[in-house]
Amino acid sequence: MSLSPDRWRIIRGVFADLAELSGPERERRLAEITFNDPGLRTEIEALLVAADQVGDRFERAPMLDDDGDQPSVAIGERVGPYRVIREIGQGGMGTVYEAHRDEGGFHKRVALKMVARGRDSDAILRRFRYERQILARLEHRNIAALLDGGLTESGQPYFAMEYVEGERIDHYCRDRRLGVRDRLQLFRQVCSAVHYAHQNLVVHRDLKPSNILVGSDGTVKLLDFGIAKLLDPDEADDQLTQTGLTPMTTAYASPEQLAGDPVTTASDIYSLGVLLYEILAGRGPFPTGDVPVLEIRRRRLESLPLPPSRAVTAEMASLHSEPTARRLQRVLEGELDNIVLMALRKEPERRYPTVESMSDDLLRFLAGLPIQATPDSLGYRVGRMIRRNRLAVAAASLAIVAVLAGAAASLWQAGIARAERDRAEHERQKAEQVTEFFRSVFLAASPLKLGRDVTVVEAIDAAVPRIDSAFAGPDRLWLKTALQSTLSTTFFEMGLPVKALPLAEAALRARATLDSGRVTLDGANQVYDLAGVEYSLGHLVRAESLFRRSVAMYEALPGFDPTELARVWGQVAMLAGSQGRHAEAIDIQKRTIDLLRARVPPTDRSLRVALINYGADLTEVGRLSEGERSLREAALLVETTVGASHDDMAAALQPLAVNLMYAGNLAAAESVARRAHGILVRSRGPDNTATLVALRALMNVLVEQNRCQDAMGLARGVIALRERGLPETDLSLGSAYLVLGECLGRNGQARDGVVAVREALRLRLAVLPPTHWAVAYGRSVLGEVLVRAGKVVEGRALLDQAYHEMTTALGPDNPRSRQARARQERWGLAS
Amino acid sequence: MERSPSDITRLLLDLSRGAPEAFDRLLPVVYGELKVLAGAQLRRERPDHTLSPTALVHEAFLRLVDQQAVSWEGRSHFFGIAARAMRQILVDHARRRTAKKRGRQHQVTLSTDPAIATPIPDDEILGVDEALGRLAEVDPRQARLVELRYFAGLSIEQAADVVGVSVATVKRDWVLARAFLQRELTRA
Repeated sequence: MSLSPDRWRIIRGVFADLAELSGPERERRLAEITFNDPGLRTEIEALLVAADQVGDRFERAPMLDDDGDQPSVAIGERVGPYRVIREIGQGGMGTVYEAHRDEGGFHKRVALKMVARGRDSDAILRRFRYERQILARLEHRNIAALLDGGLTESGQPYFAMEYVEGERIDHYCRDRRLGVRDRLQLFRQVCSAVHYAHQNLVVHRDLKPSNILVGSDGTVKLLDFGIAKLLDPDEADDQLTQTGLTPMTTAYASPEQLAGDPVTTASDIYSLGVLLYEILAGRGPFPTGDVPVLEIRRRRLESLPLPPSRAVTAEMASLHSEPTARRLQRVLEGELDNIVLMALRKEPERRYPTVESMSDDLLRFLAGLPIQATPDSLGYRVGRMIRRNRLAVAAASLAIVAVLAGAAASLWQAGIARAERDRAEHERQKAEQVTEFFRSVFLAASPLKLGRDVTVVEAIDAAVPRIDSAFAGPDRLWLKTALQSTLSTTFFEMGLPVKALPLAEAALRARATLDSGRVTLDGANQVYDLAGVEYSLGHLVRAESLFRRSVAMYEALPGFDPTELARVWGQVAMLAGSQGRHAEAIDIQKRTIDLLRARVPPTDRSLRVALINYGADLTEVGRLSEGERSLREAALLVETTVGASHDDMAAALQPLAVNLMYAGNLAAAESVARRAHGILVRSRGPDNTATLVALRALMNVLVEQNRCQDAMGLARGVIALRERGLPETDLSLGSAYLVLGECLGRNGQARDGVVAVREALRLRLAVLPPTHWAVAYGRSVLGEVLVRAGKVVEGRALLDQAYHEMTTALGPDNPRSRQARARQERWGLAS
Repeated sequence: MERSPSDITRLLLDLSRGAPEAFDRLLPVVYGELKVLAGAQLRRERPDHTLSPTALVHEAFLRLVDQQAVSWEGRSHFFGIAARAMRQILVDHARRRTAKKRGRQHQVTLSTDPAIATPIPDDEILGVDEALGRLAEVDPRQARLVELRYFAGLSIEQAADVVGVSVATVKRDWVLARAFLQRELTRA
């Protein structure tokens, strides 16, 4: 029987109602509808019968299952030098077999991993060859060694690994009903392996229980180290970005992995956090269950996990040695919660800096010592919410207020359960006052009043003048300081140092009153923060004196971590370098780096920052190969630790471009400069101050290559930003005028060139000390352009003056001095 | 294989701008992507080696589509296309399995978890596919609904969103669609 569309249309109109009815009522209604159409009646009746029978059939979508696409080799078959003995399991990235290699009469037993089909075999093998040295070097009692890899005759990649007998770590804990302390000890073995690998710059990327086996003697072995990277289809060999179908396991993947951002040591720390959560609480931090993946991912990116102690159920407790859920909760509550949540922070830089530090914290816990992990502070919560909603309209901002209130409440609850009632009450009041303040601010700046949407920046702008009155009185002074400081940091991180400055200054004043002459950590931090703001505004002299002041304060604090101090010294050195005092800077950096190398792991950010600044300063004094080495080391550390598209990579590449340019390797310099610029354009936008600094390097390389049209195009773009609010103090503006002027000179428009270069000099003199080499450099260019414009006497005088100043500032062997010398010789001496 | 998220996003944008040929270009791309993704997911993180279409389609949406760039409309298009592709994949699987079973009587189940529901028999999948062909001739919208619900596992609300009708309408249509499938599949 074929359906007619007309008939179907009628059925569709009435069917759902009919299906709800029953017995005589359905019969009556059916008769009404079909009284002169028996065919329709038959049709509907058949469908009604079917509707009564259907139950929940068709409500569930068919599941996809494994379709036999799995790579397979037959038992007994040879794969490379191995003979396949039996299948051990499936999963991971393919099928795993036990295999033997016959070597001089005895069998060597290996686990053979056949990679699933559908992957790019050549690329995998290429990466394997590249990485094998590194992977083969990983020798650790808790790491299953990667022995070999290759292609089968049919072209399928395989890896041979040390054969490990053991049980998955989660099953091991569960089946033996291990107590919390035993579980932590096992977990610390995992940490030891991962930390060791990180020290060797290998990131696991796919840590999960099925990759972690425990042998019968209780020794943990980690499988698949480095394999995930080999199998990543987006891991291009000179890769900058990696998104898409990266192999990872959603339940253990970090927010940055889920977002497709580069995978780093911090991602492994996050996965370890998930693992520890699961080992302790019996379930993961973000229960998956029936929740759609979309939702899982959104939660992972946006919501904060419950502390593990709150995730415990009676059923889970029964799998521990703790008899009741309550007892287990009490063990986990507080310190273990804090340790796990610290590893699970969304922002990689706020997690434990290294796996070792996480493991040490667990050791402290086991020894009954105070741990280092702390819950998120109120200031952080406020800042995070503002930052996350920076572009939101005020209506959404009201939601922030609600969330804040919620955060305050949970803070209070969490606190009350512990013996810190007073502190909790204090925090609660603090949270309430801040919440109330923001509520009033956002209401005052509501769309109704301004007639359009209000961004959070505008709302905070409106809030700033009201802070004084809202938090008047000595007992609220500390709250006022905290708020000003948080808002200042927020603006600063949003790339609005102009707005950050008055707040940072106000916070420092309030802090000074509060501290009344005492040196406090908060006070020192406030000075340090202000220094950072001044620096980004180009106020180098003031920034340096503030950094030095903060150094003095930190030094006066008893027990202040010398590593931290080294970091601050690094900033002082950076400022000295920025003002042309490279020798001094190099000296400080050298000591900083030595100290950091001895005290922090290579993944610590301060080390790469110091290496970058050191390399940049070495470059400026003409020690090019040393500088290049330092910068390349920094770039490698950046790539391993935070990924190749992180801003820090741009920070390393930009001076590297200058270095290569000085070395005369112009093509490489241009490519490196473009890479640095590209990273910053993506992460901060084209007009950001930092992006412009990278653009500066690119413009200079172009000028060196005599590609003046390209360079001028870029320079004009920067100059155009002046009308869109780029402050005159931004050094990039002066550089752009300089490039423009020099190029106009070469283009036969020397008069216009003179005007541009004079403007460049004026801008530089307003910011830099007159003895700075960059001022001398400007004079040197001005000299050239003046000579080209026919003002030979004035021009020559300037060329002489510039060379003299340059050698005074940098010494005669400096690349810039040589450049000035070349200019003087070409345009000054001869004619 | 062609597999750049930006390509799919661009095609979706074309489709939203009224370039229907983009649909034909999208289907094979999305199909290929879903296959690769399914393979990867099945091998990696499914202890029972099964994967729900719902999870797969949502995962694909997240990975393949630049969510900032596409509108609500583009999103609907994507789910519509993904449902069509899922249907093809599930039907292909069912066909292949049916063919295999003739040679090998029993299948080894990898799952040891009793909580996993019994799998839907292959002949139901193939039956629904055929019945859907007949339904599409009289009522394409109903057929689309079945595709979205049965093959892509979308919820009533999501399906309503994609088809662009109210939740109440979808609920009513779904009652009829299931009755229709039941009748078609018992009749044979």
